[in-house]
Amino acid sequence: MVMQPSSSVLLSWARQGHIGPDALEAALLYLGIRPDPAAWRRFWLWVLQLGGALSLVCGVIFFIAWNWADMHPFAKFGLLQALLAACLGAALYKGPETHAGVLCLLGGGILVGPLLAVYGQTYQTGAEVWELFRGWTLALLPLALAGQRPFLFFLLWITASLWGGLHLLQEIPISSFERIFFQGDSNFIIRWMYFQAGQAAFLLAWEIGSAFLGRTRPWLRTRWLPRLVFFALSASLTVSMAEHITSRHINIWHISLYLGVLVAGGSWRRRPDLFMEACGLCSLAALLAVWLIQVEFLMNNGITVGLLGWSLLISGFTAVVIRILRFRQGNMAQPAATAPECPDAWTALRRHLEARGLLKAGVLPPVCRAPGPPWFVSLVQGLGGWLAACLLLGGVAALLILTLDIRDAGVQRVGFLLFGGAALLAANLCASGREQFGSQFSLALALTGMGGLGAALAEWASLFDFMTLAFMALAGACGVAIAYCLHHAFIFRVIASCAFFFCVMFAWLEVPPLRLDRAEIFLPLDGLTLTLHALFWGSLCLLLIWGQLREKRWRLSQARAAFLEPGFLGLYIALLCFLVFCEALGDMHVHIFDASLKISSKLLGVCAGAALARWTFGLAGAWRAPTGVRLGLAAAAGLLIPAGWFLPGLSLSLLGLALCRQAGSRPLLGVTGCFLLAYFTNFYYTLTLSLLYKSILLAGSGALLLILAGLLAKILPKGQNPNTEEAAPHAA
Amino acid sequence: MPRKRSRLLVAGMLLCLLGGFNWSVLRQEQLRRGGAEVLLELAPRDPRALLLGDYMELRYLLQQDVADALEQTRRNDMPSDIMVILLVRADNTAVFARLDDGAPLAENELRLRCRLRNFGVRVAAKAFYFQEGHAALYEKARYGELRVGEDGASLLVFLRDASLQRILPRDY
Repeated sequence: MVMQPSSSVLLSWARQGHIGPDALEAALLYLGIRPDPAAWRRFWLWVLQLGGALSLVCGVIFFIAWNWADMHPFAKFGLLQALLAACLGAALYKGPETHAGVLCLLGGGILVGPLLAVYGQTYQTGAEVWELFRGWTLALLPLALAGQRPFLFFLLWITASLWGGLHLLQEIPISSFERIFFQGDSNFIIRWMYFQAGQAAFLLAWEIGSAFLGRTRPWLRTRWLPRLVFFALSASLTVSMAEHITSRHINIWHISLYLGVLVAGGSWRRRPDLFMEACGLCSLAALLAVWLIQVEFLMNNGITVGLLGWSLLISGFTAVVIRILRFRQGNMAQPAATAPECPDAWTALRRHLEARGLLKAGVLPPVCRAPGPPWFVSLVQGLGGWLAACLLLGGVAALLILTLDIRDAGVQRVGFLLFGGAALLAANLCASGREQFGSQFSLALALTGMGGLGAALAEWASLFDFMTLAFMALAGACGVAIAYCLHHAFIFRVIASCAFFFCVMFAWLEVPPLRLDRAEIFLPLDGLTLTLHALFWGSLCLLLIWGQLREKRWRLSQARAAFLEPGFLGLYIALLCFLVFCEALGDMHVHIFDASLKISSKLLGVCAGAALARWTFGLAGAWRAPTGVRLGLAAAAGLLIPAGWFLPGLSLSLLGLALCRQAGSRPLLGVTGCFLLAYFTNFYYTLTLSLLYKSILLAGSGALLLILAGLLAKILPKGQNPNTEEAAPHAA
Repeated sequence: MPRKRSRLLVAGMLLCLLGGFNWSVLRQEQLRRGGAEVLLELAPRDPRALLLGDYMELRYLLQQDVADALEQTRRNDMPSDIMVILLVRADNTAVFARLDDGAPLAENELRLRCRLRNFGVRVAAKAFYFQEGHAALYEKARYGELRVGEDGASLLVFLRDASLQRILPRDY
């Protein structure tokens, strides 16, 4: 099979000297991996429009939640009904099937929730929250049918699941879960089964629609939604079946539903879906493991034998599941003759580079490689590897603790050090294979090794009486840094880098002259302390930007790239983790270094905004933009500096989004997206600002973002990069 | 789906939603204005709900009386919704009289619908929603003022303090 042109292939050629740095940059731009000015424009327009619209909607939701007593309920009803009517009216005007119409339908669909919420606030009849979601689901159904887009059905599925889930939860007290899972509760199980049957019906309806109407309605051929529903359903059914096994309580209808879903997911469709088969196989393997635990298999000969034996057993299960999936993948594979248009992509790339005199004719050969497993097969392998490694490590630890029975603290420190070193060595030995099982197994070992080294050094540092916590954190960081140098796996280095920087940040907060134990940050702060804090957070953000601006220098060297790239990624994730740490401790009102956390998170937000402005200025310079445009772009990005003081998470996540686009990294995009969701959910619940101020802040930010989007669209024309006037393959 | 049909669907949904919503508002307003006034003694606390904002979680002292009465019946086949009879005093405070057995009501009695759930008896609204920052105002709440319809449906309209005065941030 011919590989698609990708950044990794091009980078490896550049490192081997097949193509020069200019050709590499031109190829990355041509493939859309490296954004050109037009791609940046599209990206920021998308971010500003989406962020602005979401902020405005959140502002409305926060305002409703504020529940203004001075506003008559009829005024609230009127306002929301007018907004809803405007949204759906716009959808009717534009046409529900158009892009703008679908967005209006989505906005209208979301507004139904606040409308029902205001009704619930005003008329307190004793209705349950699930009744709100029931009404919302019923209102969304016609909108989804009219809009005919998978994400509208996804929203419908979410509200319907909340309806079912909350109904179940509100009918049963949380405290009785133990009783339910260990002794069985037929009433609950039956309701749960209805819920699962409803999910199965949704899935079946989608698959029937896809089979019979998919030709004329391409949106029905989307696979991500039925896969997601199947994953949730099979996970839920697996938990139910595990409960049946442990409680020895048989419900024939429930078992029939489980088997029916499994068989239908595996074989009902004319063209089988490997993802669904993988879910089904994992579910069966999990239930087999539960049954073996229930009959105490391998558990009668002590904990050490049990853990080591189960490690082997899990490895065996994983191997069998992967073998079956590989076999099925082979059966489903397309004939080689119908392979996709990869050669055309290579030819087009070669022509593009040759036309610019960046490549001698015939240098770029198509690369042939056996097809790799899909991501979910790798995920199964990886999870199996992790589980097996954790059990193995538990077994080894049990063996050492139970047989050696070490009680002396000094010997324990040496033991930690030796155990960490041995785990790292073992990780390096296991990491040679290409299979995910081996690499994840080695990752688990390497992380244990890193923990062992860090813990040993931190234990030694705890002997100091002065600045104990700061020294411990710094010593732990040293242990992590040693592990970073010894093990080369990318994911490991990202995690190690994150741990390293987090330890450094923690140590910084613990240095006595910098600790601010005052509860109020608006007290007159010591100027030097404030400057030192600002310098620390500013230098971390600038380090991140420096890495991006100097990327061309280190990217071309294999060794430097392997060392620096995970380091920068880990640094960004560490900053996100630190902000979560600040918010979580701030909400728990932990008074130890309370003011330090507050001031640090605000300064971090400000510095992230400043770093983004600096990066924008540098990028615009690389495009040879006039100084006025450079300054204008930097000033627009600089608006995040004051915003970062009030919403540090917003400026840090926008910086992350820019990093994602520059690196073309989807995992980082996922991390940043999850952070944004968590940040704004926490923002709703935090009590530091009232819902009214939050509402004003969000609505104001939303309006500002939309205005910026409008300005950006006007100021920056849709200029095509001079390097990409040909139609590039990514343009679609 | 043809364009015309999808437009009809959206328009139909909008009309049904707004029509049904406003009809429901009208019904609740009728109950709020015309329902019998009853005061039930409470035991409150206050968290925050998704979308709905801050609220005070309410428990009514009446709940325990109903639960005790239900336990005395020793029936396992109780429906999920039951009616209880309240005895309404001169100051409109109400106490539990008996479970509804179909007997005609005395002049100072009325029916109230209760919900039976696995975790106990639910009487009327279990939460009172208020503007953020007004929690301290409602801390002194001792009674919930309900409007009860002839069918036993109830609507919580105000909270009252120990001297039976309404707690009002603003007159509504």
